[in-house]
Amino acid sequence: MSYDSTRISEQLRVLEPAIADFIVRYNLNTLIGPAGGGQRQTVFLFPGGMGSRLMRAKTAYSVDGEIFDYDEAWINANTFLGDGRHLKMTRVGSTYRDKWNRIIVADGLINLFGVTPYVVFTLWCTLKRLDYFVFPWDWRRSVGEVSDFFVTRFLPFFQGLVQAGCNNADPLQRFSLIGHSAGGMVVNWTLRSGDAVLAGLDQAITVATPFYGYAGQLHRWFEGEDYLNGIGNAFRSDVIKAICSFPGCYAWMFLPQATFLANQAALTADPNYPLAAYPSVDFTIGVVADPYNPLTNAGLQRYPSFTSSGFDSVELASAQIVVNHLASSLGAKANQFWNIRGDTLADNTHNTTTWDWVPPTDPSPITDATFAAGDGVQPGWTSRHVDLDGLGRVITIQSPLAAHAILMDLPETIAAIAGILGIPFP
Amino acid sequence: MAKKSGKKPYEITSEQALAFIRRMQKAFPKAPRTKAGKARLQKYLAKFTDRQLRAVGRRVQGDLMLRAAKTIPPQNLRKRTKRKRQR
Repeated sequence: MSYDSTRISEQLRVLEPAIADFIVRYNLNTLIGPAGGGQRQTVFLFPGGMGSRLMRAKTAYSVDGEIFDYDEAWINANTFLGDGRHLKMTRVGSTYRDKWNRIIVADGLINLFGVTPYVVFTLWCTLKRLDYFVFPWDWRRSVGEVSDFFVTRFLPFFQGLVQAGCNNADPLQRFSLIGHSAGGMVVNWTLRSGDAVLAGLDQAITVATPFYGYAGQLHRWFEGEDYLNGIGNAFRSDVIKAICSFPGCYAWMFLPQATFLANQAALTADPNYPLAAYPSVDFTIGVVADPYNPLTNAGLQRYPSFTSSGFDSVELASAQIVVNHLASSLGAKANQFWNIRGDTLADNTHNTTTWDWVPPTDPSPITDATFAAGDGVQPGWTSRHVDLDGLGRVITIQSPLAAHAILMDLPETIAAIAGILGIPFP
Repeated sequence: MAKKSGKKPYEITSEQALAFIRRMQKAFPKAPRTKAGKARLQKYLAKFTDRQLRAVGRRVQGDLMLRAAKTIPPQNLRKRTKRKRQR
Protein backbone atom coordinates (compact mmCIF):
# COMPACT_ATOMS: atom_id res chain seq x y z
CA MET A 1 0.00 0.00 0.00
CA SER A 2 1.17 3.51 -0.73
CA TYR A 3 1.61 6.15 1.95
CA ASP A 4 -1.81 7.56 1.13
CA SER A 5 -3.58 4.19 1.09
CA THR A 6 -2.00 3.38 4.45
CA ARG A 7 -3.07 6.75 5.82
CA ILE A 8 -6.66 6.23 4.70
CA SER A 9 -6.71 2.71 6.09
CA GLU A 10 -5.30 4.00 9.37
CA GLN A 11 -7.83 6.85 9.46
CA LEU A 12 -10.66 4.34 9.25
CA ARG A 13 -9.06 2.07 11.85
CA VAL A 14 -8.58 4.97 14.27
CA LEU A 15 -12.29 5.85 13.98
CA GLU A 16 -13.42 2.34 14.92
CA PRO A 17 -13.67 3.02 18.70
CA ALA A 18 -15.88 6.06 18.02
CA ILE A 19 -18.08 3.93 15.77
CA ALA A 20 -18.22 1.30 18.53
CA ASP A 21 -19.45 4.02 20.91
CA PHE A 22 -22.07 4.99 18.33
CA ILE A 23 -23.23 1.36 18.15
CA VAL A 24 -23.64 1.21 21.94
CA ARG A 25 -25.67 4.44 21.92
CA TYR A 26 -27.68 3.26 18.91
CA ASN A 27 -28.64 -0.01 20.59
CA LEU A 28 -29.51 1.81 23.79
CA ASN A 29 -31.71 4.21 21.85
CA THR A 30 -33.37 1.23 20.18
CA LEU A 31 -34.34 -0.05 23.63
CA ILE A 32 -35.69 3.21 25.01
CA GLY A 33 -36.97 4.83 21.82
CA PRO A 34 -35.50 7.43 19.50
CA ALA A 35 -35.76 11.20 19.82
CA GLY A 36 -39.20 12.69 19.27
CA GLY A 37 -40.74 9.32 18.55
CA GLY A 38 -40.58 9.97 14.79
CA GLN A 39 -38.55 8.27 12.11
CA ARG A 40 -35.06 7.68 13.35
CA GLN A 41 -32.15 9.65 11.94
CA THR A 42 -28.38 9.74 12.26
CA VAL A 43 -26.67 13.10 12.64
CA PHE A 44 -23.06 13.65 11.63
CA LEU A 45 -21.32 16.65 13.17
CA PHE A 46 -18.33 18.11 11.33
CA PRO A 47 -16.22 20.17 13.75
CA GLY A 48 -14.84 23.53 12.68
CA GLY A 49 -11.38 24.04 11.23
CA MET A 50 -8.78 23.25 13.90
CA GLY A 51 -11.54 21.70 16.07
CA SER A 52 -10.58 18.12 15.25
CA ARG A 53 -7.75 16.51 17.18
CA LEU A 54 -4.86 15.37 14.99
CA MET A 55 -2.71 12.40 15.91
CA ARG A 56 0.79 11.65 14.57
CA ALA A 57 2.17 8.12 14.15
CA LYS A 58 5.00 7.38 16.57
CA THR A 59 7.07 5.89 13.75
CA ALA A 60 7.57 6.68 10.08
CA TYR A 61 5.70 4.92 7.30
CA SER A 62 7.96 2.45 5.58
CA VAL A 63 6.28 -0.74 4.44
CA ASP A 64 2.90 -2.01 3.30
CA GLY A 65 0.12 -2.77 5.72
CA GLU A 66 1.62 -1.20 8.80
CA ILE A 67 -0.48 -0.09 11.73
CA PHE A 68 0.76 2.57 14.12
CA ASP A 69 0.51 3.95 17.62
CA TYR A 70 -0.14 7.67 17.79
CA ASP A 71 0.78 10.78 19.77
CA GLU A 72 -1.38 13.87 19.96
CA ALA A 73 -0.16 16.47 17.45
CA TRP A 74 -2.96 19.05 17.70
CA ILE A 75 -3.49 20.59 20.16
CA ASN A 76 -1.77 20.58 23.55
CA ALA A 77 0.86 22.53 25.46
CA ASN A 78 3.63 21.24 23.18
CA THR A 79 1.89 22.78 20.18
CA PHE A 80 2.80 26.21 21.60
CA LEU A 81 6.37 25.14 22.32
CA GLY A 82 7.36 24.68 18.70
CA ASP A 83 5.44 21.56 17.77
CA GLY A 84 2.77 23.47 15.83
CA ARG A 85 5.20 23.96 12.96
CA HIS A 86 5.67 20.19 12.63
CA LEU A 87 2.18 19.83 11.14
CA LYS A 88 3.76 20.84 7.83
CA MET A 89 2.85 18.73 4.81
CA THR A 90 4.67 18.06 1.56
CA ARG A 91 2.90 17.66 -1.76
CA VAL A 92 3.99 14.56 -3.65
CA GLY A 93 2.25 14.48 -7.01
CA SER A 94 -1.43 14.78 -6.20
CA THR A 95 -1.11 13.56 -2.61
CA TYR A 96 0.40 14.93 0.59
CA ARG A 97 2.82 13.48 3.05
CA ASP A 98 3.21 14.48 6.66
CA LYS A 99 6.48 15.63 8.14
CA TRP A 100 9.00 12.87 8.81
CA ASN A 101 6.67 10.52 6.87
CA ARG A 102 4.79 10.02 10.10
CA ILE A 103 1.13 9.65 9.18
CA ILE A 104 -1.32 12.11 10.74
CA VAL A 105 -4.97 11.17 11.24
CA ALA A 106 -7.93 12.92 12.83
CA ASP A 107 -9.33 11.39 16.00
CA GLY A 108 -12.03 13.06 18.07
CA LEU A 109 -12.30 16.63 19.22
CA ILE A 110 -9.51 18.77 20.58
CA ASN A 111 -9.18 19.15 24.33
CA LEU A 112 -7.02 22.08 25.31
CA PHE A 113 -6.45 22.57 29.03
CA GLY A 114 -9.70 20.75 29.77
CA VAL A 115 -11.84 22.59 27.22
CA THR A 116 -13.54 20.66 24.42
CA PRO A 117 -15.85 22.27 21.87
CA TYR A 118 -19.47 21.19 21.30
CA VAL A 119 -19.93 19.63 24.75
CA VAL A 120 -23.36 21.23 25.20
CA PHE A 121 -24.51 20.21 21.73
CA THR A 122 -23.35 16.61 22.10
CA LEU A 123 -24.84 16.42 25.59
CA TRP A 124 -28.15 17.61 24.17
CA CYS A 125 -27.90 14.94 21.44
CA THR A 126 -27.35 12.31 24.12
CA LEU A 127 -30.25 13.54 26.25
CA LYS A 128 -32.54 13.58 23.20
CA ARG A 129 -31.43 10.06 22.27
CA LEU A 130 -30.30 11.30 18.91
CA ASP A 131 -27.99 8.95 16.99
CA TYR A 132 -25.08 11.34 16.52
CA PHE A 133 -21.54 10.84 15.33
CA VAL A 134 -18.79 13.45 15.53
CA PHE A 135 -16.76 13.09 12.35
CA PRO A 136 -13.23 14.37 13.00
CA TRP A 137 -11.42 15.50 9.90
CA ASP A 138 -7.96 16.67 8.95
CA TRP A 139 -8.60 20.38 8.50
CA ARG A 140 -5.22 20.86 6.81
CA ARG A 141 -6.50 19.00 3.78
CA SER A 142 -8.78 20.34 1.08
CA VAL A 143 -12.53 20.30 1.56
CA GLY A 144 -12.94 18.13 -1.54
CA GLU A 145 -10.49 15.52 -0.30
CA VAL A 146 -12.12 15.35 3.13
CA SER A 147 -15.61 15.12 1.66
CA ASP A 148 -14.51 12.45 -0.80
CA PHE A 149 -13.07 10.39 2.05
CA PHE A 150 -16.29 10.84 4.04
CA VAL A 151 -18.56 9.81 1.18
CA THR A 152 -16.63 7.05 -0.54
CA ARG A 153 -14.65 5.52 2.31
CA PHE A 154 -16.05 6.43 5.71
CA LEU A 155 -19.81 6.14 5.11
CA PRO A 156 -19.72 2.60 3.64
CA PHE A 157 -17.29 1.54 6.40
CA PHE A 158 -19.51 3.10 9.08
CA GLN A 159 -22.66 1.61 7.58
CA GLY A 160 -21.13 -1.87 7.50
CA LEU A 161 -19.94 -1.79 11.11
CA VAL A 162 -23.20 -0.37 12.42
CA GLN A 163 -25.30 -2.91 10.53
CA ALA A 164 -23.13 -5.70 11.93
CA GLY A 165 -23.49 -4.34 15.48
CA CYS A 166 -27.13 -3.22 15.39
CA ASN A 167 -29.10 -6.15 14.07
CA ASN A 168 -28.70 -4.98 10.47
CA ALA A 169 -30.25 -1.56 11.13
CA ASP A 170 -29.17 0.93 8.47
CA PRO A 171 -27.83 4.15 10.04
CA LEU A 172 -27.91 5.82 6.62
CA GLN A 173 -31.56 5.17 5.91
CA ARG A 174 -32.17 8.74 7.06
CA PHE A 175 -29.38 11.04 8.13
CA SER A 176 -28.42 14.70 8.34
CA LEU A 177 -25.15 16.61 8.29
CA ILE A 178 -24.23 19.53 10.53
CA GLY A 179 -21.02 21.46 10.02
CA HIS A 180 -19.60 24.21 12.19
CA SER A 181 -17.39 26.87 10.58
CA ALA A 182 -15.05 25.21 8.07
CA GLY A 183 -16.82 21.92 8.83
CA GLY A 184 -19.80 23.43 7.04
CA MET A 185 -17.66 23.75 3.91
CA VAL A 186 -17.30 19.97 3.95
CA VAL A 187 -21.08 19.69 4.41
CA ASN A 188 -21.64 22.09 1.50
CA TRP A 189 -19.32 20.02 -0.73
CA THR A 190 -20.89 16.74 0.36
CA LEU A 191 -24.43 17.98 -0.28
CA ARG A 192 -23.48 18.48 -3.92
CA SER A 193 -22.22 14.92 -4.34
CA GLY A 194 -24.35 12.55 -6.35
CA ASP A 195 -23.00 9.41 -4.68
CA ALA A 196 -25.61 6.71 -4.07
CA VAL A 197 -24.57 6.35 -0.42
CA LEU A 198 -26.12 9.79 0.17
CA ALA A 199 -29.59 8.66 -0.93
CA GLY A 200 -30.82 8.92 2.67
CA LEU A 201 -29.47 12.44 3.24
CA ASP A 202 -32.26 14.51 4.75
CA GLN A 203 -30.95 17.91 5.88
CA ALA A 204 -27.58 19.64 5.55
CA ILE A 205 -26.98 22.37 8.10
CA THR A 206 -24.12 24.83 8.36
CA VAL A 207 -23.41 26.90 11.44
CA ALA A 208 -21.15 29.96 11.14
CA THR A 209 -19.76 28.66 7.88
CA PRO A 210 -18.15 31.04 5.38
CA PHE A 211 -19.45 30.83 1.81
CA TYR A 212 -17.60 33.88 0.55
CA GLY A 213 -14.45 33.82 2.66
CA TYR A 214 -13.35 35.89 5.63
CA ALA A 215 -10.57 38.26 6.65
CA GLY A 216 -8.55 35.97 8.90
CA GLN A 217 -6.65 33.79 6.48
CA LEU A 218 -4.87 36.56 4.57
CA HIS A 219 -3.03 37.50 7.77
CA ARG A 220 -1.67 34.02 8.31
CA TRP A 221 0.43 33.92 5.14
CA PHE A 222 2.45 36.81 6.56
CA GLU A 223 2.02 36.71 10.31
CA GLY A 224 1.79 33.03 11.18
CA GLU A 225 -0.29 32.40 14.28
CA ASP A 226 0.41 34.51 17.39
CA TYR A 227 -0.03 31.68 19.86
CA LEU A 228 2.31 29.39 17.93
CA ASN A 229 4.96 31.89 16.80
CA GLY A 230 6.94 31.63 20.02
CA ILE A 231 9.05 34.10 21.96
CA GLY A 232 10.50 36.73 19.63
CA ASN A 233 8.74 34.97 16.75
CA ALA A 234 11.29 32.16 17.03
CA PHE A 235 9.00 29.72 15.25
CA ARG A 236 7.14 32.15 13.01
CA SER A 237 8.97 31.40 9.78
CA ASP A 238 8.34 27.66 10.20
CA VAL A 239 4.73 28.24 11.30
CA ILE A 240 4.13 30.24 8.10
CA LYS A 241 5.73 27.44 6.06
CA ALA A 242 3.44 24.94 7.76
CA ILE A 243 0.34 27.06 7.08
CA CYS A 244 1.38 27.54 3.45
CA SER A 245 1.66 23.76 3.13
CA PHE A 246 -2.01 23.20 4.12
CA PRO A 247 -4.16 23.02 0.97
CA GLY A 248 -7.31 23.54 3.02
CA CYS A 249 -6.31 27.06 4.14
CA TYR A 250 -6.15 28.37 0.56
CA ALA A 251 -9.95 28.13 0.35
CA TRP A 252 -10.56 30.30 3.43
CA MET A 253 -9.86 33.65 1.76
CA PHE A 254 -12.26 36.28 0.46
CA LEU A 255 -14.22 35.24 -2.62
CA PRO A 256 -12.88 35.79 -6.14
CA GLN A 257 -13.97 39.05 -7.70
CA ALA A 258 -15.90 37.22 -10.42
CA THR A 259 -17.94 35.41 -7.75
CA PHE A 260 -18.58 38.73 -6.04
CA LEU A 261 -19.79 40.31 -9.26
CA ALA A 262 -22.02 37.35 -10.05
CA ASN A 263 -23.66 37.56 -6.61
CA GLN A 264 -23.31 41.28 -5.95
CA ALA A 265 -27.01 42.07 -6.08
CA ALA A 266 -27.85 39.42 -3.49
CA LEU A 267 -24.86 40.23 -1.28
CA THR A 268 -25.77 43.93 -1.26
CA ALA A 269 -29.46 43.30 -0.71
CA ASP A 270 -29.14 41.51 2.65
CA PRO A 271 -30.95 44.02 4.89
CA ASN A 272 -28.83 43.54 8.00
CA TYR A 273 -25.65 42.03 6.67
CA PRO A 274 -24.91 43.66 3.32
CA LEU A 275 -21.61 43.45 1.49
CA ALA A 276 -21.67 46.64 -0.49
CA ALA A 277 -18.29 46.41 -2.22
CA TYR A 278 -15.52 43.90 -2.80
CA PRO A 279 -13.95 43.25 0.62
CA SER A 280 -10.23 43.26 -0.29
CA VAL A 281 -8.61 46.31 -1.85
CA ASP A 282 -5.16 47.67 -2.53
CA PHE A 283 -3.66 49.63 0.37
CA THR A 284 -2.65 52.65 -1.71
CA ILE A 285 -5.11 53.13 -4.53
CA GLY A 286 -8.10 51.12 -3.33
CA VAL A 287 -8.55 48.94 -6.41
CA VAL A 288 -9.67 45.34 -6.02
CA ALA A 289 -7.03 42.98 -4.62
CA ASP A 290 -8.43 39.56 -5.46
CA PRO A 291 -6.72 36.78 -3.45
CA TYR A 292 -7.37 34.34 -6.30
CA ASN A 293 -6.09 36.66 -8.99
CA PRO A 294 -2.96 38.15 -7.45
CA LEU A 295 -1.47 40.56 -9.94
CA THR A 296 2.04 41.96 -9.89
CA ASN A 297 3.22 45.53 -9.81
CA ALA A 298 6.67 46.38 -11.13
CA GLY A 299 8.35 43.38 -9.53
CA LEU A 300 6.16 43.46 -6.42
CA GLN A 301 3.68 40.71 -5.56
CA ARG A 302 0.72 40.03 -3.33
CA TYR A 303 2.00 36.88 -1.64
CA PRO A 304 5.26 35.91 0.02
CA SER A 305 7.64 34.07 -2.28
CA PHE A 306 7.62 30.30 -2.57
CA THR A 307 11.23 30.14 -1.41
CA SER A 308 10.64 32.15 1.77
CA SER A 309 7.27 30.71 2.77
CA GLY A 310 6.30 27.78 0.58
CA PHE A 311 3.25 29.71 -0.63
CA ASP A 312 2.06 27.59 -3.51
CA SER A 313 0.35 29.05 -6.58
CA VAL A 314 -0.77 25.55 -7.60
CA GLU A 315 -2.73 25.27 -4.33
CA LEU A 316 -4.14 28.74 -4.89
CA ALA A 317 -5.47 27.74 -8.32
CA SER A 318 -6.94 24.51 -6.91
CA ALA A 319 -8.58 26.43 -4.07
CA GLN A 320 -10.21 28.81 -6.51
CA ILE A 321 -11.98 25.84 -8.06
CA VAL A 322 -13.08 24.78 -4.57
CA VAL A 323 -14.46 28.18 -3.54
CA ASN A 324 -16.23 28.61 -6.87
CA HIS A 325 -17.85 25.21 -6.45
CA LEU A 326 -18.94 25.98 -2.88
CA ALA A 327 -20.43 29.34 -3.89
CA SER A 328 -22.11 28.02 -7.04
CA SER A 329 -25.83 27.54 -7.40
CA LEU A 330 -27.35 24.77 -5.30
CA GLY A 331 -30.25 23.99 -7.59
CA ALA A 332 -32.76 21.63 -6.02
CA LYS A 333 -30.29 20.87 -3.21
CA ALA A 334 -31.21 24.25 -1.70
CA ASN A 335 -34.34 22.54 -0.39
CA GLN A 336 -32.17 20.41 1.91
CA PHE A 337 -29.82 23.18 2.96
CA TRP A 338 -29.93 25.39 6.06
CA ASN A 339 -27.53 28.12 7.15
CA ILE A 340 -27.33 29.31 10.74
CA ARG A 341 -25.28 32.42 11.38
CA GLY A 342 -24.37 34.36 14.50
CA ASP A 343 -24.54 38.05 15.29
CA THR A 344 -23.01 39.16 18.58
CA LEU A 345 -24.84 42.49 18.26
CA ALA A 346 -21.48 44.19 18.75
CA ASP A 347 -20.52 44.88 15.13
CA ASN A 348 -17.11 43.52 16.06
CA THR A 349 -16.31 41.31 13.09
CA HIS A 350 -13.45 42.07 10.74
CA ASN A 351 -15.10 42.89 7.46
CA THR A 352 -12.76 44.31 4.83
CA THR A 353 -9.01 44.49 4.38
CA THR A 354 -6.42 46.56 2.60
CA TRP A 355 -3.47 44.78 1.02
CA ASP A 356 -0.10 46.29 0.25
CA TRP A 357 2.43 44.90 -2.22
CA VAL A 358 5.33 42.75 -1.04
CA PRO A 359 8.19 42.64 -0.32
CA PRO A 360 8.57 43.53 2.44
CA THR A 361 6.34 40.92 4.06
CA ASP A 362 7.19 42.20 7.54
CA PRO A 363 5.35 44.24 8.72
CA SER A 364 2.31 42.47 7.37
CA PRO A 365 0.82 44.06 4.25
CA ILE A 366 -2.68 43.12 5.43
CA THR A 367 -4.69 45.64 7.45
CA ASP A 368 -8.20 45.10 8.71
CA ALA A 369 -10.08 48.13 7.48
CA THR A 370 -13.68 47.93 8.68
CA PHE A 371 -15.89 46.01 11.07
CA ALA A 372 -19.35 44.61 10.47
CA ALA A 373 -22.06 42.62 12.18
CA GLY A 374 -21.22 38.97 12.60
CA ASP A 375 -20.09 36.34 15.07
CA GLY A 376 -16.71 37.95 15.78
CA VAL A 377 -14.98 35.84 13.12
CA GLN A 378 -17.39 35.46 10.21
CA PRO A 379 -19.29 38.55 9.03
CA GLY A 380 -23.01 37.97 8.55
CA TRP A 381 -22.79 38.36 4.77
CA THR A 382 -20.51 35.35 4.37
CA SER A 383 -22.25 32.84 6.59
CA ARG A 384 -25.22 32.17 4.36
CA HIS A 385 -25.45 31.01 0.74
CA VAL A 386 -27.31 33.59 -1.36
CA ASP A 387 -29.40 30.84 -2.99
CA LEU A 388 -31.20 30.47 0.35
CA ASP A 389 -32.33 34.10 0.47
CA GLY A 390 -36.10 34.24 0.57
CA LEU A 391 -36.47 30.51 1.22
CA GLY A 392 -36.69 30.85 5.01
CA ARG A 393 -33.65 28.63 5.36
CA VAL A 394 -31.27 31.20 6.83
CA ILE A 395 -31.52 31.46 10.59
CA THR A 396 -29.72 34.30 12.34
CA ILE A 397 -28.92 33.97 16.02
CA GLN A 398 -28.74 37.47 17.45
CA SER A 399 -27.29 37.42 20.94
CA PRO A 400 -24.28 38.87 22.73
CA LEU A 401 -23.27 35.23 23.25
CA ALA A 402 -23.49 34.28 19.56
CA ALA A 403 -19.71 34.19 19.22
CA HIS A 404 -18.14 32.02 16.56
CA ALA A 405 -16.42 29.43 18.73
CA ILE A 406 -19.38 28.77 21.01
CA LEU A 407 -22.27 29.27 18.59
CA MET A 408 -22.94 25.52 18.31
CA ASP A 409 -23.38 25.28 22.08
CA LEU A 410 -25.82 28.17 22.36
CA PRO A 411 -29.39 27.11 23.32
CA GLU A 412 -30.82 29.29 20.52
CA THR A 413 -28.67 27.47 17.95
CA ILE A 414 -29.55 24.06 19.34
CA ALA A 415 -33.23 25.04 19.29
CA ALA A 416 -32.88 26.03 15.63
CA ILE A 417 -31.20 22.71 14.80
CA ALA A 418 -33.89 20.84 16.73
CA GLY A 419 -36.55 22.60 14.66
CA ILE A 420 -34.84 21.63 11.41
CA LEU A 421 -34.42 18.02 12.50
CA GLY A 422 -37.98 17.84 13.83
CA ILE A 423 -36.94 17.10 17.39
CA PRO A 424 -38.67 18.68 20.40
CA PHE A 425 -36.57 21.28 22.20
CA PRO A 426 -35.18 21.40 24.83
CA MET B 1 -27.65 15.74 36.53
CA ALA B 2 -24.67 17.63 37.86
CA LYS B 3 -25.38 20.44 40.27
CA LYS B 4 -24.71 23.91 38.95
CA SER B 5 -21.80 25.53 40.72
CA GLY B 6 -23.33 28.98 40.42
CA LYS B 7 -19.89 30.33 39.53
CA LYS B 8 -19.57 32.26 36.32
CA PRO B 9 -16.93 30.91 33.93
CA TYR B 10 -13.61 32.64 34.54
CA GLU B 11 -13.04 34.73 31.42
CA ILE B 12 -9.78 36.23 30.20
CA THR B 13 -8.91 38.41 27.24
CA SER B 14 -6.90 37.40 24.19
CA GLU B 15 -4.00 39.45 25.49
CA GLN B 16 -4.06 37.62 28.83
CA ALA B 17 -4.20 34.25 27.07
CA LEU B 18 -1.26 35.25 24.86
CA ALA B 19 0.69 36.42 27.92
CA PHE B 20 0.05 33.02 29.55
CA ILE B 21 1.33 31.22 26.45
CA ARG B 22 4.36 33.52 26.22
CA ARG B 23 5.29 32.82 29.85
CA MET B 24 5.06 29.11 29.14
CA GLN B 25 7.19 29.52 26.01
CA LYS B 26 9.75 31.44 28.05
CA ALA B 27 9.88 28.68 30.65
CA PHE B 28 10.04 26.00 27.93
CA PRO B 29 11.77 27.31 24.80
CA LYS B 30 11.21 23.92 23.14
CA ALA B 31 8.69 21.13 23.60
CA PRO B 32 10.11 18.69 26.15
CA ARG B 33 10.98 15.26 24.75
CA THR B 34 12.44 13.51 27.80
CA LYS B 35 10.43 12.04 30.65
CA ALA B 36 11.98 14.55 33.04
CA GLY B 37 11.17 17.44 30.69
CA LYS B 38 7.58 16.31 30.28
CA ALA B 39 7.24 15.99 34.07
CA ARG B 40 8.63 19.52 34.47
CA LEU B 41 6.01 20.84 32.02
CA GLN B 42 3.25 19.02 33.90
CA LYS B 43 4.52 20.47 37.17
CA TYR B 44 4.57 23.92 35.60
CA LEU B 45 0.97 23.63 34.42
CA ALA B 46 -0.09 22.19 37.77
CA LYS B 47 0.72 25.57 39.33
CA PHE B 48 -2.45 26.90 37.74
CA THR B 49 -5.98 26.13 38.80
CA ASP B 50 -8.37 24.25 36.53
CA ARG B 51 -10.37 27.45 36.13
CA GLN B 52 -7.33 29.37 34.96
CA LEU B 53 -6.30 26.68 32.50
CA ARG B 54 -9.82 26.32 31.15
CA ALA B 55 -10.06 30.08 30.68
CA VAL B 56 -6.87 29.96 28.58
CA GLY B 57 -8.14 26.93 26.66
CA ARG B 58 -11.46 28.62 25.92
CA ARG B 59 -9.87 31.86 24.79
CA VAL B 60 -7.22 30.19 22.62
CA GLN B 61 -9.83 27.98 20.94
CA GLY B 62 -11.97 31.04 20.30
CA ASP B 63 -9.04 32.99 18.91
CA LEU B 64 -7.55 30.40 16.58
CA MET B 65 -9.97 31.15 13.76
CA LEU B 66 -9.67 34.86 14.48
CA ARG B 67 -6.75 36.89 13.12
CA ALA B 68 -5.35 38.89 14.70
CA ALA B 69 -6.30 37.53 18.08
CA LYS B 70 -6.81 40.66 20.08
CA THR B 71 -9.52 42.45 21.97
CA ILE B 72 -11.10 45.20 19.91
CA PRO B 73 -11.53 48.46 21.85
CA PRO B 74 -15.11 49.72 21.69
CA GLN B 75 -14.06 53.01 20.09
CA ASN B 76 -12.80 51.08 17.06
CA LEU B 77 -16.18 49.57 16.36
CA ARG B 78 -18.62 51.33 14.11
CA LYS B 79 -21.71 52.83 15.65
CA ARG B 80 -24.40 50.25 16.03
CA THR B 81 -27.30 50.59 13.66
CA LYS B 82 -30.77 49.34 14.39
CA ARG B 83 -31.47 46.13 12.58
CA LYS B 84 -34.49 44.02 11.98
CA ARG B 85 -35.09 41.01 14.12
CA GLN B 86 -34.52 37.90 12.03
CA ARG B 87 -35.84 34.42 12.30
